[in-house]
Amino acid sequence: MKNWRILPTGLGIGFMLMILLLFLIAINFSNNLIFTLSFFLSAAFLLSVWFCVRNLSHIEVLNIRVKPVHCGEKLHYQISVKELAGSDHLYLQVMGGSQFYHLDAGEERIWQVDIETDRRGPYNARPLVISCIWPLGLFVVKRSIGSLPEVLVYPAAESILDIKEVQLGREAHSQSEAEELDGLREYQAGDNIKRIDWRAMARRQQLQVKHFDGADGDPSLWLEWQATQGMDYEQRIGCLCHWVLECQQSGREFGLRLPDIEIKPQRNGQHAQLCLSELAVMPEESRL
Amino acid sequence: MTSLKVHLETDAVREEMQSVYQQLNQLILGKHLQIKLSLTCMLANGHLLLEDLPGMGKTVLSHSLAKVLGLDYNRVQFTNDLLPADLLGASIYQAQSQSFHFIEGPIFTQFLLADEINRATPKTQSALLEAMEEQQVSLEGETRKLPTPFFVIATQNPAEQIGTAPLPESQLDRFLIRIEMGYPVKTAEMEILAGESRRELLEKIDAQINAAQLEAYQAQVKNVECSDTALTYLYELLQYSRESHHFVNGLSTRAGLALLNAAKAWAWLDGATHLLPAHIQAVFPYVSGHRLQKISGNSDPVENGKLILDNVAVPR
Amino acid sequence: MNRFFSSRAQGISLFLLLLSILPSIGLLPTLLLPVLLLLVVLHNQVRSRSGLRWITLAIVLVLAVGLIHYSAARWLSAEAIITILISVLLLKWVESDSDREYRIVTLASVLIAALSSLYLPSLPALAYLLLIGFLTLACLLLINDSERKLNVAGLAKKSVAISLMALPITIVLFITMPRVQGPLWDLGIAIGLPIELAIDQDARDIGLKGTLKAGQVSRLKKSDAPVLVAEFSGTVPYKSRMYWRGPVFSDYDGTVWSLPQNWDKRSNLLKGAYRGRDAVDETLTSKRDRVHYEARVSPHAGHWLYSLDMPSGQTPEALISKDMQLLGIRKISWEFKYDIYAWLEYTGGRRPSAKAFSAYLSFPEGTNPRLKAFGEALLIDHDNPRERIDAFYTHLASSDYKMTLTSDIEEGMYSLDRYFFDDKAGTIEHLASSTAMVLRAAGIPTRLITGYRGGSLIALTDFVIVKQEHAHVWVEAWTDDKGWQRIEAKDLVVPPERKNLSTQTVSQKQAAKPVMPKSSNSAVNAESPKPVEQKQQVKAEQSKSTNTSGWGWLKKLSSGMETWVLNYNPDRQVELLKKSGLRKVDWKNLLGISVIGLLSLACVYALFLQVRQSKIDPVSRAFQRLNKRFDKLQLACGDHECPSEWLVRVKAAEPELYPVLRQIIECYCAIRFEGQDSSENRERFVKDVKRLVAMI
Repeated sequence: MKNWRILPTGLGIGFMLMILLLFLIAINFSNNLIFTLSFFLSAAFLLSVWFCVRNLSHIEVLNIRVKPVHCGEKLHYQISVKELAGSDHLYLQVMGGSQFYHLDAGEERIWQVDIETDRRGPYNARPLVISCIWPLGLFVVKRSIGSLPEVLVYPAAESILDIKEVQLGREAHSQSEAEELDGLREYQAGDNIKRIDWRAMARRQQLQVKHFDGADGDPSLWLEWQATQGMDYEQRIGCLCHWVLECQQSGREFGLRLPDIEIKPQRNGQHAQLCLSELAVMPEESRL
Repeated sequence: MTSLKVHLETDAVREEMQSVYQQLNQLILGKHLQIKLSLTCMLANGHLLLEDLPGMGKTVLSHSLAKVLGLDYNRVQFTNDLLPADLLGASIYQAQSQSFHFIEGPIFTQFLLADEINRATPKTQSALLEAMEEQQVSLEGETRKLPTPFFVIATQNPAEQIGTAPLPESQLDRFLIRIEMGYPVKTAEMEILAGESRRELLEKIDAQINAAQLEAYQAQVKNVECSDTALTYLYELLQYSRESHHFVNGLSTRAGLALLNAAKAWAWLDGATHLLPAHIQAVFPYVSGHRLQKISGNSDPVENGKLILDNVAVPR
Repeated sequence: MNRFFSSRAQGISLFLLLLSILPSIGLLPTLLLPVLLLLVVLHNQVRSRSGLRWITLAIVLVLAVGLIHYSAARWLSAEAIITILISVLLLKWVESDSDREYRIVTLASVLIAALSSLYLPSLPALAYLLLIGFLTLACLLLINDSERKLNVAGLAKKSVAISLMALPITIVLFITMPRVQGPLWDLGIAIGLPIELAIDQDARDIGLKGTLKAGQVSRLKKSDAPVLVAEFSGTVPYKSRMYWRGPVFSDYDGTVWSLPQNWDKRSNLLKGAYRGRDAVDETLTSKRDRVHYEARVSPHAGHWLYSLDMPSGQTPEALISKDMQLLGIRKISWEFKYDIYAWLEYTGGRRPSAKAFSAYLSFPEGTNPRLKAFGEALLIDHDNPRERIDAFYTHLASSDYKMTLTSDIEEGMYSLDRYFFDDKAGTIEHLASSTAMVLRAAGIPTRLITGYRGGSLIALTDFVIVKQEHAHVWVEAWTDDKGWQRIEAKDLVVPPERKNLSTQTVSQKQAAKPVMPKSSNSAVNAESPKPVEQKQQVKAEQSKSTNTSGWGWLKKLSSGMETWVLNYNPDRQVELLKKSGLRKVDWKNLLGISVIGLLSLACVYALFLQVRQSKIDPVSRAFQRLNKRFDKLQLACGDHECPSEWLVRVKAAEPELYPVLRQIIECYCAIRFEGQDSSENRERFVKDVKRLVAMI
């Protein structure tokens, strides 16, 4: 039972006081009926623990998923739970939040639990605590039912500066297959006229442009720690984070240079996540 | 009570396919499972990915499959200079008729062996995969149907990494079943070494069935019935892949459908009219393995599948 | 349009509140109730404007206070307190708008309901309180059900479930929880609060005096002002064996017993007093059951310390007089404390002087001739004084005498005659005086002793509180062989266990009592014997109903309830537990039993906690059974193994079992995987499994 905590609520303490007063009234008037009432309510008081415990029992956490977010956003835990005993479980609270979760008999369900974040970096695994005061609200019973997995919180993006384009010549990754003909596609206003395939036009009577692989990508960039000089430590991280996101959105190839780490330019989603992770685990300023 | 029949009595397959099965086994020694899985794949109308080192009989298997099943056969050796047009075909100006004429590429066949697919550029790979998925080719604004039945057996050499583009994970699930040939067992290998060249033997074999029959069997496969209990089991398998912490991503619903089809084909091949958990278990590692990526580093795809099987109870 | 209640919680808490004030609604000043109800009806309007809200509430509260002030009720009377409580609570409800406040209102309602229930007769009160208890649970439940997951039926079901599960615990607590007899004031006195505080000013001069007339003691019986508090070292004697000795009379003029003039002069007090530690003991001819106690006597006008009969030993500032009573050397005008020994059974004492002897034998001239004749007849019939006393006892026991609190017998020279031979019903003074006179006529010296008999034991402690209501009169007679001995006529007239329950006495007692409690203090005291009274009413009603209709079961139920619920008191608790084999019953033992009872219930409930409601289907169960059997052969079907594969395995390992198992598995697969889930197949499967399991 070390995973369980049972505490009376404020109402529970009030209820106890009320029972005490009833008891005194009963003694004073030597009235067995009031004794009965006070014992009945005491019994209900004790039983409410039982009901709470049952409400929290026979629930199994199947798995917990969470995606990294940026600091200041909420962590969205997806907790899939299963009811095992064939009875309903009502008014459960997860991690002390104010939202209620319910679970019907035999049901399998995914609870969405949002938890605030206030700093970047790894959030360690912690016990997943569910609690309830249902049905009478006299006790709050808490049960640790599993553990929330460790999750990385990326720094909050701060758009302080526009991206400083750092071209380092040779080191910038060249688009290897930019010259390769990828195919033809219909002409759209704004396409480079030089790329129109005139022969295809002669054949099909319609404008088509040659499409080269990688041809419309911008040159790759270095996002550098040095470029953010003059800002606070955390601001610099936030700024770099913003740049990474911007590059990812515009599909540009970029690399990241931090004081001790260099990540070579690439362009896929995983690359951006790697860069964000590195920013997230940057040591705190005080530890430098 | 027909579900149990063939499965229990012999290692054989149902009567209609018996000759096909035997013929293949004579040609490719000691590879019953691979042969049965390949047939399952054909019957479920899916594509096969063969992954192994060169010289393990990949080509022989695919070629003999095509021959025994009586299908048109084309083989394309994928190289890094193979362009999509080389595979799909192109329009060529014919001087006599003063018009463009479409020359079909090698893909316009019933049975395509895409040898060493990892050597081709991603563009060519995706051209093939698209055609596999859609069973048609879109070229220069026109859509051309591929013949039916249409199978692709792609081979990939896992050891050869330099200068190759292995199929990305997202593309792997276009293949219904992935198998490895593996080294033959001792007796089989001795026999191979002692006997005639497989290529020569290949010349001798005849088609045992034809395309029309194959299509009829495919229709029968679809009629294999699946009870709720079996579906529950299938669902539990998928669910475990999603909920256990072993894999980066769980199996998709498409993977589930693929599993169902493959299991049905296996059941049909076994002579069963209904799906048993055993049928699902038989195909599961080969259907699911290449669709799963373990979180903790690389692992054998078949082991991935077995891990799930070992952790999910059969509904009673 | 706004709905009347903004939430279900608001509705049900009002319902509970109104229900809780219903029994005591008659106490409210007539004008106040409509005003409060109007406010409740208009609660939405009042609440909507915050300025109006507070002003209205303040006005109503002032109104309530004013109305109480101008009504006849006194401040601190029960009416005033309940009125204020109800007004405040209703106003609180009007003002509340959060679940928390409704919870508070709910809890307070329960207290009001408990107080209100005192105005109901016992059976309805029980039903009422149980309803209140049930509604309290429903109310808390409903307030917590903020997302309306339960409908009315669901709420009722849940409340009933909690109530039913609470019943065993309630019963255990009811039976074993250490009971303390009220009122609380007694407890306070036992703990050491000054006794004076418990005595009403107007009751101060009540008490035993230097004279005794018929009806005087009976009047005392109506007061529950405490006389003394005794703490015994060791066991407390039975109530019927405790005689607290007060004024001792020998002079009787036919109507009034009186003490001699100047009896309380210091010299008179000291004359003939027993001096020394063992002075009394030396004169006793027989003595039994010595107890020690410490007493605190409430102040009164006399010297009497009301020591327990027979005092023995010494205590400062007090003396044992020649009448063997413990007297304060000074008048007891402040709380007096002493500790002393006492012999519960005794005979003996110093032989009185001849002059005193004649006083103990004097029969006032010209009074009660029949009584005198009766006594003289005893003298003629029996030589031995002992036999004369026994003959008198026989007469008392065989004649049908009754005890009353008031008497219609006129005071006069023949009043004892009239009592003893004609009415045979009278007060304790009549009985005791008659006894004394008859024995005097029979030649046996007697004296009349006033004092108290019994006391209220504060349950599970060694404290006894003696109150005016315990006032008693008895007789001491002198025989040469034994000395003084107690003559208790009352026990022969009224058997001890029934003595307080005679219908007549009780109904008169009730009539004499104010219907409504006067002040909070007296409310406390006046209500205490209520269950007893109500029991009488119930009994009366019962006897009626049994005559008219066949409601036998109801009678049984209510008499059972009467015994085990209404009249379950500390004595009965101790008795019950002693019967069930507990040697010593004190509060520690009781508490221990309570805890053990609760813990064992907790274990039972913990087992319930494990119960899962899932139903296992017979096919699965049969399969599990089969599997268990094969497990012994090390051939169990694994959790993740398809039965068909298992069959293949069994075939290899146990070929002789294969054909039967194959049939079973085929049937199983047909049910599970081939859509042939017919009852026929199921039965066949279960049957086959049974057969195979039996076979192996």
